[in-house]
Amino acid sequence: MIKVNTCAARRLLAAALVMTLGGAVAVTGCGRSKGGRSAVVVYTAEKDEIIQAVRPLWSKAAPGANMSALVSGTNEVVQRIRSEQRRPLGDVLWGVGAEGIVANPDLFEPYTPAQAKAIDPRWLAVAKGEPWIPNNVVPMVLMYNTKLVTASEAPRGWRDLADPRWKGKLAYAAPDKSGSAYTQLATMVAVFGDNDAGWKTIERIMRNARILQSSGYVPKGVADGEYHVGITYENVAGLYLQGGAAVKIVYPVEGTAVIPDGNALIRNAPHPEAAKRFLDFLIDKPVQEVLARELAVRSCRTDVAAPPGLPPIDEVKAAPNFDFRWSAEHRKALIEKWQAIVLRLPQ
Amino acid sequence: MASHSAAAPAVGRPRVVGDPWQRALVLSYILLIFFFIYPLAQLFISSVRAADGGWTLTHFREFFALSYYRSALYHSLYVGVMVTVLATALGVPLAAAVARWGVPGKALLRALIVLPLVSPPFIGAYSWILLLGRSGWITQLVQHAGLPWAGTIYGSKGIILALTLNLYPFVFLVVSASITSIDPSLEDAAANLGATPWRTFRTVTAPLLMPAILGGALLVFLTALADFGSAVVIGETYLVLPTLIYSLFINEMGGEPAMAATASVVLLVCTTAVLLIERWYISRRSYVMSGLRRRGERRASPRARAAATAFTYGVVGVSLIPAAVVMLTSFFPSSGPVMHPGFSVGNYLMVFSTVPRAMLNSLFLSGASTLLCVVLGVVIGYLLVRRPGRATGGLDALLMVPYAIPGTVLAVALIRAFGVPPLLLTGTVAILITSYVVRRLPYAVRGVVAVLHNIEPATEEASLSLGASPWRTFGRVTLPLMAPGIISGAVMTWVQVISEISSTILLYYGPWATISIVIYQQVLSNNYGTAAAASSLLLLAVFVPLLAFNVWQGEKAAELV
Repeated sequence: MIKVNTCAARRLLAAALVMTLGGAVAVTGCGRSKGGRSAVVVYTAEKDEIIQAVRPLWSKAAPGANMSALVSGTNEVVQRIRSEQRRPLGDVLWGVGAEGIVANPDLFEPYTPAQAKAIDPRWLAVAKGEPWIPNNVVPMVLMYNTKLVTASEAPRGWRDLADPRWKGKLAYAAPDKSGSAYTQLATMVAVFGDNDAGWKTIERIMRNARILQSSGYVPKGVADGEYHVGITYENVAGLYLQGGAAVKIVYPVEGTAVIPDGNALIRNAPHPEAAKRFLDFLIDKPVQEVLARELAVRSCRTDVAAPPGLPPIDEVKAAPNFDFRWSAEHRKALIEKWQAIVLRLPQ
Repeated sequence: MASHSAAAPAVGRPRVVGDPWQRALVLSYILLIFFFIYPLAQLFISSVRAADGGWTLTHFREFFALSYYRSALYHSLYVGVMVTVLATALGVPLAAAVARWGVPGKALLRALIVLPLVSPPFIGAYSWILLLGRSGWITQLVQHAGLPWAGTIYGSKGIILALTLNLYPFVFLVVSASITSIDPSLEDAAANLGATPWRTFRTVTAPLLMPAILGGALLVFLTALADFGSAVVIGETYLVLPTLIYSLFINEMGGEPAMAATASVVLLVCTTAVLLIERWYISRRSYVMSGLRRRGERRASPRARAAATAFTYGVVGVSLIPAAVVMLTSFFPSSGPVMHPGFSVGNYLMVFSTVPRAMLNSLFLSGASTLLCVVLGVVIGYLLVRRPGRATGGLDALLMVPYAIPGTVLAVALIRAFGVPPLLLTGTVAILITSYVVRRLPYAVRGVVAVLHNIEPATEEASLSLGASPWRTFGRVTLPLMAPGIISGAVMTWVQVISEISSTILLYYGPWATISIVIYQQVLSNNYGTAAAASSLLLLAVFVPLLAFNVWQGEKAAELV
């Protein structure tokens, strides 16, 4: 009987060896990525479809310059750049919430792309003095499930979310975990005022809210019917809308924050020339047009139309008191106030 | 080495001058300190460092003063204990049923039981929301039938449900390995002396299985305590320690590393305490057998056999629900993030350009890591059981460190330690393998330890006193006896590495994206259809080799019996 087990162990070892060696042969056989001086290593939080759409455009724009993309959430991408600070492996950070870049200015080098003047001056002003370039524009929005909420019941703005009828039906991501959720909190502070009355209203909204651990679950939960209403941002809500989910987008009547997603040059990038070329390429008109038309990415340029089905940016009312810089500077204080509120609520 | 040791022949007790295991012990310490402790030291020190550079306990005071942090600790312990109790209650009878009661279709069963351990990143837990969420398929069915729907899947209940069905295979694997090594003559003796089957089980079988049961339970507890994926997806507002550590540490807005380190140390204290209790319990009651005879199946009455079969297939069936939902949804047509009813292979076509290469990467990385884990696990497991003492006790405690550290945090520590000369590992495949081995070694060690506790040292001593060198004795006597434990440890390591995501996401580069990276990218892009397709391929890539191995081994076993 012992023999059986010896055999088993040997067989397992043999199986593991075969798999490992097979894998090694196959992996080496596939060839390593073509490196070289013109290659560019892109760290990004962009969606898979966007990367797939940009890839052929880049190989046409820069033949022979291989683009290698490492994709993960904004949190992980920024943390990775920080961890690799002493020996950077990435060249460009592409398409992440500007909050993440502004909070880590030491990781990036300022760079002004050739076509900077084509970018809407409003967004250039937001990035002024900071080491990043606007890429696309993202309004914060509300989203509701049309199977659960009729158009007349739907909230029209931030203040409506404080109505007790949304109790347990409102999805909101935790602002201490998600950059976009933090911007949404700062927007509410701008709309209601950073004073007792304002925070009382925010507390009433939080009473209604289910706090989710990641911003991605908000639009998904609303589309699945897990929540009636969600606080989210336009380009992800737009994807559900385009995909045929039973949802509608609401641009808050009080106005909302409109924030550019940004690109940045990583400090001490191993391929700085290719990196700059890629940063230029990302705001080229043809590239921005393709992304707007096919993937609902709202361009940062003045000369590219809004994505089909979405209103032109000038029809989206901006929250009059929202200031991106103020929001970035007061993050710690606002998060602490928010945490104090959430801790008071019954679980 | 072997000839050198043979020059000083070992006699009597295995602890002798020139014992090659001393060298193995020293080597294990060096490896663990270099690859676990050195990278993590910086992190731990930061938990007791003040902003001005002095030493302080303020972080710990703050942790226990704020209910925000305290509640996360309570939640984690509650989930950990509940999941451990439930998973053990499922895993032990299941192992007994499969090993002893002649449940049909064993080769298939053993491969199926392992599948829940392969929980594709975020997708596995999401299946429960699709079924039991507020608008879940089952929820709606129940509501249509006019029945009241009690409560929701969200919160602790959901996490406990998902983790129990995800982790009970640990108990099954460790206990099965141990059951096959129980000497049948002990039970027969009890029966011949007039003991009832229940009394035999209580006084003979259960004590012999205790190290394995506790070993499996320990793995479940530690894994549940460190779980991140289920808590994020199903927890909703229910905050647990790993979610907290993650958001404190990995935060685009600049986290609070000192507080994250503090929370990690608190988690580490919990895991170490549980480990010490387990060791204390096992040291008090240790039973060994000659282990040379192995247990076959019992001849069970048809009714008992039918009951065991129904129970086994029932549990396995329920635990495979998430995998089944993933496979089902992978065939739904999807446009962007939205899945529509119908049938389509579109999701598979979408991932076809990335999946084959990623699958090869995953197979290679998990194969190589498992090999390393098995070799190290056998050596360390042997040391822990056969050379107990202060030095090996310390080794055991060191092994628990990676449990308490979320994968993402470990990855950051590795990048910081090995991203600069003298040892440059970042941007190479070696850093991925290092992180896998560091995190999964305890599984391989536990598998070996659980089995080795029941094997009498006398067998090895006999070999030594007959003049065999220590290495020869180990290779020809001990290793074969440990085989079931090695296999269960290897399987646990392999399936966990192949679906690893949290450290891979920070460590992979260029062409080394694994299949779990592909899945995670689709999840991030909100493409649950394509994520489900890639997940189904991952499940298949785990299931097919396991089934083939079981069938292959099963036939061989039948010939030799």
